[in-house]
Amino acid sequence: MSDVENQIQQWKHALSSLDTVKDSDVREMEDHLREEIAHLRAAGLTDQEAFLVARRRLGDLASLEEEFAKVNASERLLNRLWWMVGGVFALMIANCCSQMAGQAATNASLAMKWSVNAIAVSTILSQAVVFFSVTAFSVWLIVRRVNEAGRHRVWLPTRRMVVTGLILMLILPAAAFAANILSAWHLATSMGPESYNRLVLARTPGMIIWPLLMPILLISILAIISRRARRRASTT
Amino acid sequence: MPVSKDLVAASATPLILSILAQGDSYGYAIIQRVRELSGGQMQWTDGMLYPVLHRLEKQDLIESYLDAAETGRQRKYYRIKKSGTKALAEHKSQWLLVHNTLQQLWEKRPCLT
Repeated sequence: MSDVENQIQQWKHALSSLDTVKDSDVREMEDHLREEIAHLRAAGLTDQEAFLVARRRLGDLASLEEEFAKVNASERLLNRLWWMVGGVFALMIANCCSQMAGQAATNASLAMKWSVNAIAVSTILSQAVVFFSVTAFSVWLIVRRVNEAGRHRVWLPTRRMVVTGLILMLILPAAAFAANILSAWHLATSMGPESYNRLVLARTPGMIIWPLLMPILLISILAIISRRARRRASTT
Repeated sequence: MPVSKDLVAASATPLILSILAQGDSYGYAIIQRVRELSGGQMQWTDGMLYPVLHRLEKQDLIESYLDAAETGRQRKYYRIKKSGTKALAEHKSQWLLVHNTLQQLWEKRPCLT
């Protein structure tokens, strides 16, 4: 690969790493850059000179990013919303894990005392259903994003956001775990085995349905918004 | 004397619409045409043209399509739409109004005193 070709590739790489510039924008400007280089070379400049002048005429990256941000704002927002929904799912999974563990621990200790194995089995099963359903939705979401990555640029979260997300995912489920164990233990000991059994069975459907509905609702809303935005973009 | 940045930015839309009204075109050719017509006095930062083109596309004034360029690469061409022709007529009357107003002020008037 020639020197100039290398530099063009580097320039393209820098341009496509900008948050607001889409792949189609990069292709359009690459065509522009190459035509300008050919034009300048025909006028007598060397390859290297032609590249430098053409790149300078296109403008520096910072101002390009700013100008493109004005037209690509809605795409960027949607992209971020998709990532936020992914984060909500991840949090739900972590929460389900902690609830499962908390419920299992309470039930195990209650089972030793009262031999209420049925409760343990039913609650752990319900939590497992929730856990696998949320996992399935998350996998679906990731597949969707990966598919879209081929057509659109994907906005990637910064390192700071990932770290904050991970810390939140550790702290919140840990707090939920502690609260769950304490409240379950308190309820179980103050109510007695039979009423506790009824309570757990009564709230099981809710615990399954809500985490199942929430991803469907969130994804449907986002899908509708995205499709509208895309339709508007393609008809204009 | 190069034209000021503000004036270049303000005239971008009517310039693009006028060039496209004469026939379909693409980014590089539009910039070359402006350079040629202004004798090199209207210098755009080339990259700024594309966000403007995309905004006009979003506003439904122009549309784009891909076609093979003579180099063999895919190139994005732009075409003016009916609404764009209407918008151009409006731009034209506004610019002519500004032009006429300034011209009257700058004309040499006989001294009455």
